[in-house]
Order: sequence, then structure tokens, then C-alpha cells
Amino acid sequence: MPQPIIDVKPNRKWENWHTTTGVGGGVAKFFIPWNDWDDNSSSPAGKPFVPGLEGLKSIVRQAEADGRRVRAAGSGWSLNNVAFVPDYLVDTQNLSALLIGFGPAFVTAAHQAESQQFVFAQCGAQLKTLNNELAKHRLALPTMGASNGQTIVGAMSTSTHGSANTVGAIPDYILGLHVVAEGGQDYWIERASQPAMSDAFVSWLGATLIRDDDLFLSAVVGFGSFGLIHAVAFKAEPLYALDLFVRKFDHDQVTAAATTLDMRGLGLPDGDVLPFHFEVVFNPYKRGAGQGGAFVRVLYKRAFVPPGPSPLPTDGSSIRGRDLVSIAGLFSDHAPPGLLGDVLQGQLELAVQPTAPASLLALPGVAFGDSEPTSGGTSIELGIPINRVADALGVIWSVTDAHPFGAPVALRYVKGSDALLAHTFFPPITCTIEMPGVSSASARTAHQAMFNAFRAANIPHAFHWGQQLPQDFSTVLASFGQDRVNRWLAARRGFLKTAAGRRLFSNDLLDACGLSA
Amino acid sequence: MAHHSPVLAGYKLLTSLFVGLSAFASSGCYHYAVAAREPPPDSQTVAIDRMNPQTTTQWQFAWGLSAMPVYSPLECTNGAKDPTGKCLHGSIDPCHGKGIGFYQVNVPWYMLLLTGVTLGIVSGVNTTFYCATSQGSESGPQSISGPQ
Repeated sequence: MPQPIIDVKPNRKWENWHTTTGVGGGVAKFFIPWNDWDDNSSSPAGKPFVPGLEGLKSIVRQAEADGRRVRAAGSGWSLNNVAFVPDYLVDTQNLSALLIGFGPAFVTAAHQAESQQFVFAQCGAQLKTLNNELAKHRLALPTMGASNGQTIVGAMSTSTHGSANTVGAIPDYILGLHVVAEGGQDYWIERASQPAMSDAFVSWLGATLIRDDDLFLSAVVGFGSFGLIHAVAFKAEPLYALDLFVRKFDHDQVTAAATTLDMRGLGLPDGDVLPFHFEVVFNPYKRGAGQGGAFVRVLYKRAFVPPGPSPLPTDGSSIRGRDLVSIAGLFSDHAPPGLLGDVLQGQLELAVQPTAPASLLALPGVAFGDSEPTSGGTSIELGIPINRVADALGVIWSVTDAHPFGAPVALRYVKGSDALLAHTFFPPITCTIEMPGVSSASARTAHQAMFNAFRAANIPHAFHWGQQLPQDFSTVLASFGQDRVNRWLAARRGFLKTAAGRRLFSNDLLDACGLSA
Repeated sequence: MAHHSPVLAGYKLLTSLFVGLSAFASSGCYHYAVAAREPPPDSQTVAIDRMNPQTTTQWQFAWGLSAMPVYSPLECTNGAKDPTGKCLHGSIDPCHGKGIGFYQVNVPWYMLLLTGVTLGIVSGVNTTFYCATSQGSESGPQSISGPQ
């Protein structure tokens, strides 16, 4: 009987990709499962994921036997310890099998006409891998985050988002979850109200089927707390191109658009139409007239016309689409007093480089590129109802004036999520306000001041699970409300029926937030 | 009002300069990287296992006149070794056949210092590689009765 290959590295130090201060630490055992058998035999035909799946089951059973907690770490994109546990940590990135296109019998009747757009993605598949493989099939992800190195399950589990005001965040297009839970038992979880995969699919997978709305809507943004998620299914879109347009403004020229999504007066290429992706990046220290402290970045969806957009430069010098954390985290916080705004402005001119009057056409995978490590990048992000954005900006300016720190303020707009603990849950559109920078004493002071100011301002808000956030149950309750929190807890208790099972898939952050019991 | 002599002021300036340069040198080092790309149409840089960097120090001697060092490790499958260190279930390359996706060379300040002190006789760099993770894609099952 062949065994799945699992590299085990005991007493390993783990840190996140941005080596954020206070994130990670020593790990008792670091597991790296592979989609390979130890006797070099092949996986069952059409099921390249089986060794990896068996590896995850084996790791869960080992953690149970050893009385250890276990979590999966993805690409280490999160800027806090949401993925981390010092017991058993699983590096899932080599579990990257992708199945693209299913026969009609494997999806429910409502989806049979589009079954060839269905994708079964193993947990470690990175968004850049998905972009690349989907593009070969003339397909694309419905949306993604600001960069492309996250694993699909890691990005989903923390509600990673772009600015897709008609799509939502990544969890909002996930249709089903394949979860390895207590005892190494695997389950296929999807909505009861909108089932996507047929019984034949679940039988082919060999999992136990659970159709339950609350369980699905809890586990899809469950930050690793429902088990090791082995794979997900979603429906890809026909391949499209993204047309990027960036223009620099003064703050007061874009405030109306940023707070109401009224595009009039911005002079965008498609006029007053709300773009597929609308984003405003403010320099909080350049708020005056003539200072150019606001950058508007929009993306329009365009039809893909073969052979596609003009090719990338071939000299290897340019990798487009670095995210804000990669740029803003480098130097701004170390600027001499009084020069912070100028230094940040210089960085933003590079990171959000204006294209106006031209625009730049690219495939989705190229429009959002790599996140380069920053040696201490950090960030804070809040989801806010669209009708309270003006108030929220007032709160933020009061904090940045009192506690300057090297971070821009980036606003994106995401369709409200049904996921119970998604920070993008405010309907119909959630404005996410992100402040990426470097992990410094001044940033930590400002973050704490931001937590306090929003708590006092009576503005509904929720924090991104993968960034800096207040870690206490009262904040979770205040953010999401009693009903959502109770439903999430009940769904988890119904799925992980024993206290030992719930402890198995918990960590310190979950404990601190009062969500692990 | 205290008056400082020009010698003292110069000493303080030199001290400040030294401390500043030391702080800069201790945190910085030269680094270079090469990233592989996927085929068109996306041509993305390949996905890598970011959580499992494989770092080693490679040495050169006698101004590079020694043989070119080539680092090409193998690991025991599942780490299974007998007491003598022989692999029980064979060996495998660290990237399990997926290849290297990202390769980085770091030249720490102390290596530069070593090269200088030894007049180039001993020189070293830290190399780090990250394995590629993509295993491509295939079609899902198409019929219940057919190949699944």
C-alpha cells in the first residue's frame, strides 16, 4: 500500500511572506504534503489530487493522536497570525492539482450548460497558477485580490477581494468546499439553497455530502477553523482582458466619487459608467488643493480578442502590478518628520503610476502581479457600509493627523458578501479601506488609535481577518452582530461536534476572538 | 555655554558616520534574483512554494580559479533513513520534479568583508531557491460510465 509523500520538518521557524513583526514563530512540526506516492506509483486516473488528500487526512489523524492543533498556512500572505499555530502547520502549496471542465452529469441541473467552466482547485493552487491554466482554456477567475501569489483557499478563507462591485470577494464565487475534518474524514460542503455539484460528483470524489447554507457560509470564510480545506469548486468566466486607467487628482476632486460611487467629473474613459473595478488611493498627508494626493485606478472588463493584449516586455526588467504592501512598506515610516507626506507621495507615484490619458490592456493574471516581500509589511483594513464612507474618512484623517504613519489609504468597493464573517458583508456594496505600510512602532500606535476611534465613532465596520485587528469577542460581536456570530458558532459546533475537534482546528487568534469553543 | 573643540566635533561626526554606516551595513546586503515564467498567454512568473525556501552558502576559493560549485541536493523520500543514514524509500529532488521557480543570491556584508580581508582568496554567497508548485491542469470527469 503506497503512502503519500509528506516532508516533515520538526522544530521549524515559520514566518509570513512579509515577515511581519510578531507573526509566526517556532512550529513543532511543519508538514509539506505532495501529490506523490512514496513508491512512485500513479494516482488514480483523472484524480491527481489523491496522494495530497490522503496526506492531509494522515496529518489530521497524527495531530489528533498527538493532542496537537493543526492548521494550513497557504502562501503566508496574511499579515497576522490567523494561519499560524505553533503545533502542526501544513504547507499546502504543492497541492496544486486543477481539474478544468466537468461533464454535465457532475453538476446540478441549473449549471449543466456551463459545466465546462467548472473548476476543481486543490487548496495550494495559487491565483497565478489558476490564471495561467484558465487562460489556456480561454477562461478566467471572476475576480481576485490585489496580487496573485495567494493560494485559492487561503485567499478565500480570509475573504480576500479586489474591487469587483458586481462580483464580490473570492469566497463569493466559491460553490463548494472539500474539507478534511475530525478523524481525517472528508466532506463536500455546499449550499442547500444553491447546490452546484451533483451527487455523481460527490460519489466520484468519495466524500460525504453536506448541503447546508449556514455551514457553507461559515466555512467559506472560516480562516482554517473548520478543518483542512483540501479543495474548492467554482465556475470560471470566459477569458476577458482588463483595461487599466490611472489618473491623479486632488482629494476634493474625488471625494464625491469615493463616497457615493458617482463617477461624474472624473473624466474616465467610459464616461460616467461605474467601472468593473474602481479604487481610490489617498495620501493622507497631501489633502490640499494642487497636491495631487488622490489616485484613481479603474479597470474595465473588455472582451478577449486573440491573440490577446500586447505582450509583456521581453527584457525581464518589468513585472507589472505590484501591490501596495510591496511598495508602501519599504521606506515611508522612516522618513524624517515633516517629509512623510512627500516620501509617501513619491512611492505612490511609482505604485499607482498614472496612465492617463492612455489606458493599458492586460489579461487578469498580468494586471495583478506579485507581492514582493517587504521585511516587515503590515496593514489594517476595514469593511464599511458605502453610505458611511465619508464619516469613516473623517475618522481616519483625525487619526493620521494625530499619529502619522507611513501608509496610504486605499478604498475599494466590493459587492456585499453572504459569508457570515466576511468583513465585506455590508450590502449592497462594502467599501474596504486598507492602510498598508511597514510594521513599526508608529504604525502599531496608529493602528490602535484607529481601532479606538472607530469603536467610538459608531460607524458600522468589520476588520479583515488577515490583517491587524482587535482580537476580542466584543469586537467580533460589534462588527458582525449577534445573529451572524451565533450562526457561525452554531455551524462550527454542528460540524465539529466534539470540543477536541474544535480545539484541533483552532489557534490563539481564534481563542482571543472567542470563536474556538 | 559649553564650547566644543574642533577635534571633539570631528570625532563626534566620525563616530556618527561610523554608527550610521554600521547600521546600514548590518541590515543590507546585495541580492539578485531570477524568476521563471509560465508559457503564454499569461506569461506569469511561476508559482513557488514561498514557505519553503532552500538556502545554502556556496564558497569560492582562489579568485574563482577553483572548480565551479554546483549545488544539487537530494532528499530521502519522506525523510526515511536507516541508522547509517541511507535512504529507506529512495531519494527525491527537493522540488519533486517540478523544478526551481525562483532563485536568489545574497551577498551579505560579512561575506564582502571576508573577501576583502582574504584579498579574494575566500569568497562566498548565500543562495536560496524556491520550488515551482504548479502541476498543470487536466480535464475533470466527463461521463459517469466513461473514464473518470
